[in-house]
Amino acid sequence: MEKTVDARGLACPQPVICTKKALEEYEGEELVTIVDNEVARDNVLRYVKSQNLIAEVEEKASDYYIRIHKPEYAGLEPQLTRERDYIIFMGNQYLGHGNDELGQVLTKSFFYTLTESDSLPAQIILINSAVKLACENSQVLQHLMDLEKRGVQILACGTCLDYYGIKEKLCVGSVSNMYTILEQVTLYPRVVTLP
Amino acid sequence: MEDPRLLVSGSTMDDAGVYQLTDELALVQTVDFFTPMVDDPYLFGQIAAANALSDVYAMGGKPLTAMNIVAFPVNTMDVSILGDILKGGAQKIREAETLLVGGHTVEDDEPKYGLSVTGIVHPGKVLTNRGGKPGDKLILTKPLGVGIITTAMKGDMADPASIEAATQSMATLNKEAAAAVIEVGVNACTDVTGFGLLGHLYEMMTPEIGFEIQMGQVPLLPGAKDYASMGLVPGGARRNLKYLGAVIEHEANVTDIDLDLLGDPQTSGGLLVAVAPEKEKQLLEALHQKGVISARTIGVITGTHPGKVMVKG
Repeated sequence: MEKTVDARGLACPQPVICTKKALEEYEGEELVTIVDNEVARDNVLRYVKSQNLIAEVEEKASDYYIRIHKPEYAGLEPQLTRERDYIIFMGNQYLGHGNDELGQVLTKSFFYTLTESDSLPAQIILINSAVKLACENSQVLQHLMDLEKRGVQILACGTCLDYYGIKEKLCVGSVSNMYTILEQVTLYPRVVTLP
Repeated sequence: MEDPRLLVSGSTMDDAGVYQLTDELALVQTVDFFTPMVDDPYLFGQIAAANALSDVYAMGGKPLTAMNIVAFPVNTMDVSILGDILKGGAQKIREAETLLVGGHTVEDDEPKYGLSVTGIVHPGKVLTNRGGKPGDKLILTKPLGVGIITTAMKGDMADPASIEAATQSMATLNKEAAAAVIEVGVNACTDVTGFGLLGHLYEMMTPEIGFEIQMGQVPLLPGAKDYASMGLVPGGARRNLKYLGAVIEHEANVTDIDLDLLGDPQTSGGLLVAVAPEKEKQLLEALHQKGVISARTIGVITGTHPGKVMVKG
């Protein structure tokens, strides 16, 4: 037995929402959504794709029958990559181990690429020599300022700034302590640690 | 009707009418109202007022007076809701340093609210849609995605962070953005509303110019891309794209989802400005300094493919 969702005559986003609800409630393997226009067809297909499901479309008398296959393992809803659900943890002003000159180029390239990315981190935590990146004369200062403007919180380790004697030269972000840093690192589902 | 004192009329698809009174003074007039897109009446009032005032800002004008336009189901809905809508609107009118001088209410099945706004501008300093030149940089002052997020809200599929960002963006006046634009001086200006970014770019087009948009530079509200990729796209976005049809060209790595974002109808969207390249940095700095933090350069005007909008990935 297959289940049918008749979404003919419904305005967007109703066909997508009806399909979503039916998929959530339905235990079987196949679900058919019927729509009567191309926009609704494309939107339902897009939803199906975003949920990692498969569908075929059949055109019958100017209606579209979208046959959606629901695999048995689809109990876990696939999560789309959400913005700001991760933090970046950086402990070295040069990215990677090896040549520092290369490391500097890579750091610059990394932050540039990050500013262009759709998926920004919630925070960037800088410890040890990485705190220099947030200080005067840093080559990535502009990128960090740009990220901060777009809501990325930048935390620089206070002990590290003191050690290098550059606390007064901090230009972006705020001074933090190990207690806060530990809290943040354990709080977020994903921590991306840069080598 | 031809009249030399009518400097700007609806025929150029501009944001407001401009009528010259003296050598120094022209009148800017506009009206806008719509049905609620959010449940909170106070917030709806703020958004509708910010949206109506925006048309005066987009012309380079200063709003002076406003009148409420209200439709409300007086017999079936709690009148305190209407009170909250008007309070929200009044708060934005005050923030715009504009006076509320009256209004009119009719009975209707569904609430509607907006303003008729009158402002002034120097006749020589009117900012119109058409004035961009090849080489000009295009700057957008608010992120896109309002239509997509309100569509997701209708389906109870929007998360609180997206809702907050979208509603705050809609309720933000274009006052500070306009102040920066006037201070620095630009070649063309409009506000992004129902026709989406691409539709309003089309309104800025003249036979000599075309546009290039860098998709990666376009500011987007958090979540907007996710919802678009789930098919939560308002019908208006597709109508906008269909209407523009052959005007839009895009590189192979620009997806249908990207185009939906660029065609997404905005409520109370940001200003879209064409500025001479040597003033680009100054304008961005002025905007950021005034708190318009989402403002970004999103593309450039070209002379090489007139009549086209090229979207680059």
